[in-house]
Amino acid sequence: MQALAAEPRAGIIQIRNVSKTFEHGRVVALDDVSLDFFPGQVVVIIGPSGSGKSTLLRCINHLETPDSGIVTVDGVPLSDATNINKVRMEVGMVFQQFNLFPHLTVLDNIILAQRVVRKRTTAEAEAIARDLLVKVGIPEKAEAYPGQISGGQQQRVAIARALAMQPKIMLFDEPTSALDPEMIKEVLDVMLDLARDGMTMVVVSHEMGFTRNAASRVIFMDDGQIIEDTTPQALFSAPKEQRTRDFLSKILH
Amino acid sequence: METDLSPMIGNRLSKAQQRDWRLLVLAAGVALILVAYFMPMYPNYIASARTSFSGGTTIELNFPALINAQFYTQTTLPKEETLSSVSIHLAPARFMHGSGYGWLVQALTADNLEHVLSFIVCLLVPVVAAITALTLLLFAWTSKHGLREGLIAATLSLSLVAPMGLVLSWLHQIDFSGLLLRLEPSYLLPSAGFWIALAGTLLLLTAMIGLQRESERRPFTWWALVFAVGFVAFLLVKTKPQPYLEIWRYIQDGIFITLRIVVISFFFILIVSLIGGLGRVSRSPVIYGIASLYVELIRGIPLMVQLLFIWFALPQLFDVLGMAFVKLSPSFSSFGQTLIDLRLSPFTAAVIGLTICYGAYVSEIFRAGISSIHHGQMEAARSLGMSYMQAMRYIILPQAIRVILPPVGNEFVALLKDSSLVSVLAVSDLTRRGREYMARTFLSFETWIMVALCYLVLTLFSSRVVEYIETKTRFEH
Repeated sequence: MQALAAEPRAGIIQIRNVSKTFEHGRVVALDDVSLDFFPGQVVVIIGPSGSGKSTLLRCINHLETPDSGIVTVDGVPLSDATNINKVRMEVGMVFQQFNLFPHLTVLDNIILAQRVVRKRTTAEAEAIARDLLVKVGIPEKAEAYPGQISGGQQQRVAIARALAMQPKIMLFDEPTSALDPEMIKEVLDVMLDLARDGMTMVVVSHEMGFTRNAASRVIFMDDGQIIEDTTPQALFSAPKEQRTRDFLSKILH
Repeated sequence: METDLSPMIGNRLSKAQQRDWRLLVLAAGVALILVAYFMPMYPNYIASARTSFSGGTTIELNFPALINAQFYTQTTLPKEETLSSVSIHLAPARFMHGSGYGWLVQALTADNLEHVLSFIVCLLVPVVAAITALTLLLFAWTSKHGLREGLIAATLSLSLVAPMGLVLSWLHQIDFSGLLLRLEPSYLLPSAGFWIALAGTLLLLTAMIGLQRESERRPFTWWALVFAVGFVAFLLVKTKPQPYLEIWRYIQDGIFITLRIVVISFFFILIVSLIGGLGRVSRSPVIYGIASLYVELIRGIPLMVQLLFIWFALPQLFDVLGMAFVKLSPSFSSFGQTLIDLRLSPFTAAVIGLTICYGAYVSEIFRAGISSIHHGQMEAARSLGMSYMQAMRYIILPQAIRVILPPVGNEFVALLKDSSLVSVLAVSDLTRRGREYMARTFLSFETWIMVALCYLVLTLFSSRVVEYIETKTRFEH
């Protein structure tokens, strides 16, 4: 394990001895994982499929409940969080399949949670939503329905929807895996902007370009364990473990 | 013969397509109807009638008040008097007196419109069909979009009903003038105006049956079947008032009771099944267990048995419970007494029975609809900080409703039919009224054919409404 975990600041996300199994213990997704994420870090998690990357991400906003161990977000341990929804407001999430609400317009997708969760007025929420649509580069699609815009545009709306809640942390679960190749860049550009603005980000992705340009830390996972936790430069130039080398040789061709 | 393969819908018509035989026949039909309505429909019209009663009362009526006369004499006939004689003054029909448009103008300006409403509707249908067809033609010949699909469907449906409308308007004439005023039937044989208009409507129908092949939409609208069944019932009542009119009069308040039970029950069923459906997708084992137990048990018991239980066994249960409360402690005795005194009306029992039974079936539809929404939607909503109920209300249910609506509509039709079972609870619904009439007269065939026709009109009509909702929810996305 690398020195990054020993930073002096307190981790905004603390994961302690978290384990998670599926199908009554037959599939081990997380095996006694402990680590910290610090404010302002952009962390990319890579690893073969089934290595527990997504499960780790979903434990952070409690979409999955760990079998054992503690996840603490912004000082609140999730296991005894009386109102998990308060914690989730601080943690935005972007999904592989976008998961926009198909019955609402783009604008309403971004407004709804602000209104019912953040209790903002419609006018307030709409102003924020329109600003964010400008930020992700599609202000003209405000009135469109998700089914009428491209995958890349949908994913950018999904990012705007998460940002509208003004979260402290953003989680990205393979945000570009379901996109056609020509649309990947527009989504990554938005994520790069976000990283430059100092957002704390945890990204599960195999976009090596993004990792090189934006990540401050890379974690390689396999079999539910953290194999390497280092900087992008260190990982790409001198991977320590054999498993990491095998994996990198497969995805970098 | 030259063939033009380009579709007639959505494109400007070519010269050859503009001279298509169907369009020409349609134009001829439109012209015939619109012109024929200027001509007398019957050779004579009744200029005035003088009705005398046995007590010396006489009522003078002038055209077009005559149309209301049947209603008038039925309701305001002097007491203890009987009809003694009717003398009629006939005059040859001229434009305002006896042509199609003339009738319409006179009837529309009559004081009590509601008494002649059915006559006006019957007489209007061919004109409306002709005007719709004319609009269709004008678009076809001038617009760059050619034929309009919506207009084809509308004109086809109207053309199917138009000949029926004309024939019914004639039957109205026989009612007003023949049965009431004892006018010789030979005076009411239609003249040229009527026959030309009828020919026009048949031309419309022929052209439209040909034209509908151009449309991608399902050609035959089943709405026509609703009209046809209603028409059969109407013909039975008109041609054999004895006993059909009598049966109709006897069972018609049953129709309203049936409808009331069904609509009220359906309202409660929707509430019960929303709760049941949410329970069936709940992650809490207790809530899931209760909801599943309800659904499984109720679906396993025949509706008839449930109704009989509520009607006959439940009061006994209340009695036993009430007695127990009375014995338990004096402070509960008034509550116990209320239970003992509680008597459900047959109507309430019927509504409760149908709600409990259908609530279980419709709960399953709600469950299926909610589960059909991808779980990513729930995750996205939850990740934004919404509570489970907020996610249900704003995200899952609005999407599930589109899936749920059509099958729930079908359950409404099924409920309409199954509501006939409540006749065992002494509720005077349609079926019960039929049974009562049959018990009095032993006219089993005539009674049940009328009851069946009434149910058919109701169910076919609701099925069409359900179908309409289905297409609406399918295309919106």
